[in-house]
Amino acid sequence: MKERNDIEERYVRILEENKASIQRICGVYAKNAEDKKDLIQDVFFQIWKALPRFEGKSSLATWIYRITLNVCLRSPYQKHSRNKIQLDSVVFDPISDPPKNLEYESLYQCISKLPQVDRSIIILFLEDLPYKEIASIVGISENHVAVKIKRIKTQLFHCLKTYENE
Amino acid sequence: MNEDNLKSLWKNSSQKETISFNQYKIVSEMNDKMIEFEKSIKKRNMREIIAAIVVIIFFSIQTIRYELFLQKLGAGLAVLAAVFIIFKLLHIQNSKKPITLTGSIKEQLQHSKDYLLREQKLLKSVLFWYVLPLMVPLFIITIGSDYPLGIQIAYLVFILGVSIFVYYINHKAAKKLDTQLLELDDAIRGVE
Repeated sequence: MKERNDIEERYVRILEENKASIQRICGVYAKNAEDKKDLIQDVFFQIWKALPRFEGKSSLATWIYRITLNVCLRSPYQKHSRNKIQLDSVVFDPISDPPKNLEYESLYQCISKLPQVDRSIIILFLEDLPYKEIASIVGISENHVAVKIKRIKTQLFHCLKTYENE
Repeated sequence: MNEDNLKSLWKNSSQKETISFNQYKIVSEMNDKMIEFEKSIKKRNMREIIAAIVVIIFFSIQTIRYELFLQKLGAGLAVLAAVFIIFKLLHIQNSKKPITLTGSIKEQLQHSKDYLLREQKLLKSVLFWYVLPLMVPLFIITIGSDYPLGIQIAYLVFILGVSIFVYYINHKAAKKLDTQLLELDDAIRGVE
């Protein structure tokens, strides 16, 4: 019983601490606002399902990023078998006067144009994860991550510049 | 814009919408969803088995009721076909590997590819594990009946039409997966 309570408390803490990152990542992979909500709720459910089996082999943050990216990446291929998770306890509130920043839009547009895996790598880089952690999440070597990030950053800056000039 | 500006822009991008949740409600809701999720898997497996059992019972009765040899043979074959389809469906369900969402992206992409390839293979081979095993017994039952030739031909055309339709929609669905498989191949190449 105590173990159960610990998991429940831990789960709530994890969601509270990571909801902003989950929201940002799902925003890149979602086709629209509704899809984004579905993805976020699916991530919340998958974290709940996997939490009792979390062994602490990687940091909790790395583990959350893995689940979030994997849910987002598998979503287009699981249309038939994916059960939509609708949670009444989760409320999405748009901020009444959101900061109007075209740079946000440009950044999301530019990231969305990248190939799937490059998208994941740059997201993890922007989330400030060390190369070692990015390598473990993606499943490639640290050197490979470094080479890829250098190339993706060039592409991203080039794309952002195009938007700035428009 | 430099790297730090880019990171700060990214981190502030989630400020357009807030997510809030009731911490007591979410835990009980997750427990409910887990039960619902497990029930839905059991229900799906049961649905397929129940449908096949109905076919088995129906044609078993017909095997006894039919008086003509070819009809008895067709009904017997239909029972065997239904048993074969049950085993095939159960085998597919049991051979599905659980999704490893805590694994690396590379593993997840490979898993998605394997999953789609299995689905595609199943859809492409529907003729051999679903259409023909049911179509042949129904053909034999019709040919072995004492109905007038015109009615027999009408039945045969109907059975053939339904079979072609089932085969066609499955092949169309299999072909649709080609694009997704190409996308996945591209993504997998990106992590090699």
